[in-house]
Amino acid sequence: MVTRTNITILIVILLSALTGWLFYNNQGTPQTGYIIIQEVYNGFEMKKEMESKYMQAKNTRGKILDSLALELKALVQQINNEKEKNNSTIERFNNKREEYEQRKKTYEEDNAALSRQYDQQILTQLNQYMKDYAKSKHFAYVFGSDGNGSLIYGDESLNITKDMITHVNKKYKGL
Amino acid sequence: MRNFVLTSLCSTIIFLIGCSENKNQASPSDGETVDQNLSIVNISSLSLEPKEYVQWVQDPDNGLKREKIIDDLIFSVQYKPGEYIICREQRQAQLQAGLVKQKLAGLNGMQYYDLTIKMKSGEGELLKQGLASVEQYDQRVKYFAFAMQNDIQLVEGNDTLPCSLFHFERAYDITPQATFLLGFPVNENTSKEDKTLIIYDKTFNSGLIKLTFPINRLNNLPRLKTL
Repeated sequence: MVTRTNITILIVILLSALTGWLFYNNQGTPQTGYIIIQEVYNGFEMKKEMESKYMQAKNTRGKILDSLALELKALVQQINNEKEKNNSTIERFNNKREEYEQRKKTYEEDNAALSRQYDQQILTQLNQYMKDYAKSKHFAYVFGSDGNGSLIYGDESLNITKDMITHVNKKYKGL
Repeated sequence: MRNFVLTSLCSTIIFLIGCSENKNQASPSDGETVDQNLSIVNISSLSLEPKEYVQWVQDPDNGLKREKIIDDLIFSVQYKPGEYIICREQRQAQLQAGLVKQKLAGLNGMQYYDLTIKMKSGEGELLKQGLASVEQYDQRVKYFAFAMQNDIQLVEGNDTLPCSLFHFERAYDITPQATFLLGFPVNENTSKEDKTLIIYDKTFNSGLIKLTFPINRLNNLPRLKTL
């Protein structure tokens, strides 16, 4: 009888110790992980969509410039072919060239502004979704590796890049 | 005594399994929405009074209300079944079957949503969020009232539907939010596809906002109890 009681007490102590250890293991240790920033950014669907949107706008502007450049070439040809100097053609050429230069400058500025705007939008959403991921998975820290030495080494088991890409794309889709 | 030991052992094992499963389990947080893969109980046999029906539709867990937090803003979209619109319009404890049938016929041919943009802080006027000048405020009011309609689309499968009904409910300083009533044509060819509402937010520079309604959720509605 004494032996049985001792065994029971021993089991209860062991179970309590095990429970305590597990509780500490789950709650006490902060969970950490790291992502490869470039992979997450490139794998983010919004980035791909906005890139395509940007290229569309850039190409449309490029086509307008190409068309103006073609008109300029035609005018140069016309001026070269004319036996006598024609002021009217030269004036048209100068106006067209001025328009071309003006538009080229405007388009370059617009393209740069659009690129900045899209980058800002992508980063705002990406940061939000990554924060959501970290919170929902109870991460204390998520480090970003960009290959520039900010993260010297990370064990592969702590690499959550793929999981992060899946998560941010799901969130972006609004699921 | 043996039973006690066995019970303790079993309880502890169950507890340990529970703990280890919870470690990486996602819990709802900012920006979290209900997972569409959760098992869905068929509730078409459920019959609800108008008040209960409205509550059921507005409950995010039932999948007809989707929400997304981006920075300081909350974008929220409520899918509105015809019965829900009628309940909200009539504001009565019980409704006549004939009236519901008649009203439903009038709502046919369109699908309706409410889009709400609100500030996370719950304070101030939304239109003044990050405002640079008075002129910008006027531009925002005009954009919200008229041009924003062109930046909202509904994607069903390979089809993109334009927003054909649009109304901006301006709240001034009363509530820190803006509500837009949206309507899209019903596309018979793609009525079995998930619906994704896409808003291109230029005003607050959040970019493309997508909110998806799985079709199994939209087709799994309770019945409205009528007289």
